[in-house]
Amino acid sequence: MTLTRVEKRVSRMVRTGPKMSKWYDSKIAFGLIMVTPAVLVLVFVLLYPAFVAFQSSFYRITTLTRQETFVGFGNYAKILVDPTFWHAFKLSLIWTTGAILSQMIVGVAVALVLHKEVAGRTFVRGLVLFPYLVPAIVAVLTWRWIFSDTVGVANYLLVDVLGLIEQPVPWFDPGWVMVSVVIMSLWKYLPYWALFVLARLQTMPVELHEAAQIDGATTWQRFYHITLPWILPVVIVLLVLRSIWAFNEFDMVYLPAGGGPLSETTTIPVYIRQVAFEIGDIGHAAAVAMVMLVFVAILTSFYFWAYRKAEQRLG
Amino acid sequence: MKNMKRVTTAFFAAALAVNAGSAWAQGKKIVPFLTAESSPNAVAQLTGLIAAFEKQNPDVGIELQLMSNDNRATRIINSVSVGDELGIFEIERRLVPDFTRAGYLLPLDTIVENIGIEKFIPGSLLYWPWDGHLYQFTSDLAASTLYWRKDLFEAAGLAEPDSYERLLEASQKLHGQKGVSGNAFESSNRGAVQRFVTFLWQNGGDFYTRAGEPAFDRPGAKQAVQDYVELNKYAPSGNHSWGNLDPINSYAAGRVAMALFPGRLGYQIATNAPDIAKVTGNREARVARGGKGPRVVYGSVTSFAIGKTVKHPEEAKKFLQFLFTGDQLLAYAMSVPGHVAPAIKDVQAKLLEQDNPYIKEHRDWVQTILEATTYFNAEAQNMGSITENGEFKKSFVPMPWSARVMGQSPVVSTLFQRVALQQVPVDQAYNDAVKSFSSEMEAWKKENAWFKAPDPNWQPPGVK
Repeated sequence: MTLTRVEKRVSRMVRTGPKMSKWYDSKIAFGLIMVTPAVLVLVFVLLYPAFVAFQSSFYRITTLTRQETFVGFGNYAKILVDPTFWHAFKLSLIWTTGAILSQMIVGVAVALVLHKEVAGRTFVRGLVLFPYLVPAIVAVLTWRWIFSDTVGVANYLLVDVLGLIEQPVPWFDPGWVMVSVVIMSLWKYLPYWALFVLARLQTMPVELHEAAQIDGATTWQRFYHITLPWILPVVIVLLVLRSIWAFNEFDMVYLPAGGGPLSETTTIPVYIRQVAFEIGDIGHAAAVAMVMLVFVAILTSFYFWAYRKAEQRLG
Repeated sequence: MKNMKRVTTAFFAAALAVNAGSAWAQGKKIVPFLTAESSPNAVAQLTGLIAAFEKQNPDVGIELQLMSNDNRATRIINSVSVGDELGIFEIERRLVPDFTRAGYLLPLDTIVENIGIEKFIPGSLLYWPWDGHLYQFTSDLAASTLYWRKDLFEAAGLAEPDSYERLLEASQKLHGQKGVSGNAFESSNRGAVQRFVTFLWQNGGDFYTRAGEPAFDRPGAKQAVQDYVELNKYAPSGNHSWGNLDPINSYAAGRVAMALFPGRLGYQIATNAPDIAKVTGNREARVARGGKGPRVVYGSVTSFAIGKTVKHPEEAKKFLQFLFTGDQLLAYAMSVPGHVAPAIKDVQAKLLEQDNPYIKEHRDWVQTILEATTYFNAEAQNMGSITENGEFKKSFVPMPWSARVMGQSPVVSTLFQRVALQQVPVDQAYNDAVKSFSSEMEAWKKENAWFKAPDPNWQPPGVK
């Protein structure tokens, strides 16, 4: 039987093993070639802009004309003594903590409910995703209507319909505005938590709960000793990701009240915008961004330590 | 393998064909046109006008780009600073000094020369005092008038609000009645300046002099602040966080008894809340004690500039001239009648004769608003219009540092919010504001050594 050229080559490879040429047949080299496009994207979209921002932080750069003046660590020194920056930092911490804690607690609760065998579960699971699909600007505009002091339905329900309170809630007063913003973000990002935690719950062995039930464990004991350790790694990963995103969040914080009233929604990202486009100094804004980067990196390290602990506990 | 080669060849051939097609299409001269117009009617009008221009000029394509009003400045600043082609764009008053100084704008004098300066409403064109050129072409004017609920006033036995005393009395008597707040004199970052300045100027105060020196420490300014703080007590509780359209929404919902706003409010209530419109009065705003003080209100000039990076400058100028003259300008003004007041005299005169339901029903409102465009002032474009002795002599000197004092957190908004929300005594908040106006101006001047007070006798062309 006459073999084709391909068949002859395959036959030879089977007998002698694949012929290793110099570099392009090496597995390591092949792997490197495959990841090169992704690395290039990473470099140009992430690393290069970060490097430029880092470099810019040592200059005073006029936003409009891009005129540069080297100031060394001057921008960083300015930040250290700037009460506006520290106020924005404090607000960022409050906003991030409030947003993440509320999303985590309610998200886990919703996931636990969706994990139950109830009628219409599939439909509800689909409905839960809806807020996440809504663009941030639409969500904010809708909530501004809901919280409006003149035409808002929230106060109408609370005061006039349900009679739960006597005076309307001043949703956009300095003492309340951050609460309002946290509520808006809770509605928007709750599905994110619920779906990830639900996916993890669905991998949990049912026998663990059954065995615990037989042994007389209460609902809380089963949740604390079985469910919680099981979902903890996912919760921590979500904490890391959502914390980073929340700390960097601009639109959900800026759109409701434009950084006010009295700068009570001027978190770090909003402050960066103010410095860059109102005061007009890109270098100073870059320095603030670098400080923010360092803080987020520290936060992330802590989270990964907690994640390892959680994995060990589960193991 | 052969099939693979055929598929690959076909793919690249198709790609080349698409590119070639695009290149051919780009034989047309494309001019970008950015606008923050949000009214569906206005956008539809613009699209129609663009089509008409392109029909007359088949080698030119106008690319309409809509942007958010709140984000307009950021969008434009980003474009110029990265060297993107900036075509025709609506330019915010507070950006003009920086843009002009940075050389980002094309001079537009030839457009006015083509039309004839005598055809414009005097003072509607904003020439740059430091070189005498025109960098922003006025498309339309807007001016504030006072809207008030005649039915509520009559029921409470109140006189027409033509002075501070009557504004206050009405606010006090009507506040809290059936869910209505006394007024819509807000303290928000986005609206406080526009409401407050009418009080400031009619009390003989101003922010700076024409020469660019602080003036907020004048007695008239302090009086205006005290009066406004008092009235703000009777605005809806969340007014300090209002957005641009919240005064309209509140008035249309019947939640406030008075509002000081340009013509858009009238048009909106007539269109969306006709029951409220029926019981609404509209009049010239007189807000100082006894209704006295100079005849001046807040107003604004909507103007368009052309970026120097535009690839087809002559075509851009041609389109700008086409859009904001003659029947096109009239059509544009009719998109929001009464709010968009043409800057060209004969076009403005034709506005009242239009066969439009709103103009027919509320002709008196439109007349009041058009008349207000003859005595309006804009804080960022007309610095120092109120003289030391409290007279209104319109200045055409822009406030170069307005981004610092009227930007994201305007000084006056912070003043009123501190009083209302933190119970800071008015005197203390006012004194802090005086210092802020001065320190921000000094900081800006330190970074901009070019600034010198313009010739005190300089007047733009067309103004006697």
